[in-house]
Amino acid sequence: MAFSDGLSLKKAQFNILGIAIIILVLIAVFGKYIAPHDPYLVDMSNSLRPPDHEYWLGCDNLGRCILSRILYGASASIFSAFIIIAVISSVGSAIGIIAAIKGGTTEKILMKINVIFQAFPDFILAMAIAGMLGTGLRNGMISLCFVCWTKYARLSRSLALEIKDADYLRSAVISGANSIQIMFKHIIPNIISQLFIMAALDVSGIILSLAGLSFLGLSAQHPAAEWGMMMSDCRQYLQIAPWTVIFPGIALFIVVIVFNLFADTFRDLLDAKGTKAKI
Amino acid sequence: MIENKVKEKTKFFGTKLLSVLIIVFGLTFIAFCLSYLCPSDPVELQIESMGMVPTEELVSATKESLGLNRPFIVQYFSWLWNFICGDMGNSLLTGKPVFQEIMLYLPNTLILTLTSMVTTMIFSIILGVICAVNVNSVFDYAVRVITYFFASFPGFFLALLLLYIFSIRYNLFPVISTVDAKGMILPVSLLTFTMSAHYIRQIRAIVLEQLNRDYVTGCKARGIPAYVILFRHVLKNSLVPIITLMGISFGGLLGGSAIVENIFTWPGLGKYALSAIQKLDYPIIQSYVVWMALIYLAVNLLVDVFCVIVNPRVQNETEGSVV
Repeated sequence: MAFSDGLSLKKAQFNILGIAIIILVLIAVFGKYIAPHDPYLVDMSNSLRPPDHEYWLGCDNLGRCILSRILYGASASIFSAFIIIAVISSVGSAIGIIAAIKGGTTEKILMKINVIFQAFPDFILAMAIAGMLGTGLRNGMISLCFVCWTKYARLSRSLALEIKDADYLRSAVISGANSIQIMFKHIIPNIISQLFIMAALDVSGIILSLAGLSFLGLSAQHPAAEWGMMMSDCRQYLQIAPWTVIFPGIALFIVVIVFNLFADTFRDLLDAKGTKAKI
Repeated sequence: MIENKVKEKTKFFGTKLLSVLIIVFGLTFIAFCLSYLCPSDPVELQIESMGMVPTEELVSATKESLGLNRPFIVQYFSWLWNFICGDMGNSLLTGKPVFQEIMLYLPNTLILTLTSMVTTMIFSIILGVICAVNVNSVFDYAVRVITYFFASFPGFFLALLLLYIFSIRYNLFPVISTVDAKGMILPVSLLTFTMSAHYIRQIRAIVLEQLNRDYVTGCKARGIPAYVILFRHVLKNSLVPIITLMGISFGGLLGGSAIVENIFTWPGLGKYALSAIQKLDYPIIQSYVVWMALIYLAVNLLVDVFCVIVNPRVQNETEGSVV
């Protein structure tokens, strides 16, 4: 049997999910070109038009094609999450690694700042920051960056502390390597796979939080096509036109579950030590 | 020996208290800084909202009366001192004292979150333990698939669907939640579903880890009945990680309650705060953020104290806790 052992089954699963992710990313990139209609075109004669052969997923209250809006919105959800993850994972791990290398007062201060940010319920602080900065997708992203970096600092610090006393690091220090060389040449290559796992596990949560902020009207602005905002805009039509809310919701759900499955398989394949235990 | 232990305990709680004080200072500072994030001047907005033209003299006079011309750090400490004394400023729009308003809505939020916490715990401990005991059975597999499904399901989407099915289609519950048992069913079950999806998996893992320990094999070898092993040993040992888990994820529950309150129009702090956020009424936003963080902190402190009492070994392993 091809899948006689668990590992090759996992690898097959990983490949399939990887392809699914690539398809989602391609949709996010080329959504603009494959959208059948203009997602911003208001046409009241099509208001709340049910799904049919011309408008596959129906139209919203302003007569805008829901399928086109979902396709346009894919990039707002997926790429924003990627950008947020790139920012928080690099800033967070830099803080954690610096704390681990420097030790002493620097470590104490950095970790105290980390703990203070953790003391807030994540979503509530994000709501407050996004609200004060003013609405807009960019401000929603900034607010999530402020809130979500803490786990990366904690994880990278504990990982860096583990290898800090290894012989090869000591010999590097004795040979005169400075902190920056140690950080980039020795520590980061050793812990990057764990950070990747954590970043992969984080994507779906970030997508959901961002959609949640938009749903509350604190992130994306009109008339932008963003899934959370589409659902919030049409919620009063749920009774007479359920497709206006259900299709963006399903799109969001598919993206989130694909990223979740991918991240879990990725972790199972790469991580023999168990990243979760250290978070 | 006993003296030493008492000393250790006092030291443990002493350092905890100190670290809590530092955290409270830090989090109030961040909350205070929130008002400086606003790109437009809140004072001008306030004057505009009262229907006046924000001339330079008027703005500076208002700033003077609000004490906004003083140095930043002086403003922070006077704000903090007033906050401790229970004066959290007045709403910029309505002029009402924020403290009274918060006290009006806070109990509703607490009722909602604490009830959801309790139901989540009951629901997920029962299912998690059954799954762990019958590991790899059909039931276990089904629960794992369902929890995976719900863990990926956007909470607000599920909320809208529940509202549609139960309130609009079948008219079983009110669309606008009232603060009573009937109005609570939908919001509480939504929070329970979404939280349990994460909990059941983790509780299953915790119990499974205990079941694979040597002491369980030892108990089995001595002929102790399975239910005694489960209830007297395994569950007792799983209690600390489960309670810790509960403390850490309470923040998620508070955040989730903000969305849930807005969808089910539950008259809680989350709904009140969102309308304040939309109007940039920053005294309310600051108080909301601080209160939520303090509640989260208090829950985690209680969890820590509880864990030390149940299992003194925890004292040395506080690395992962929030506080």
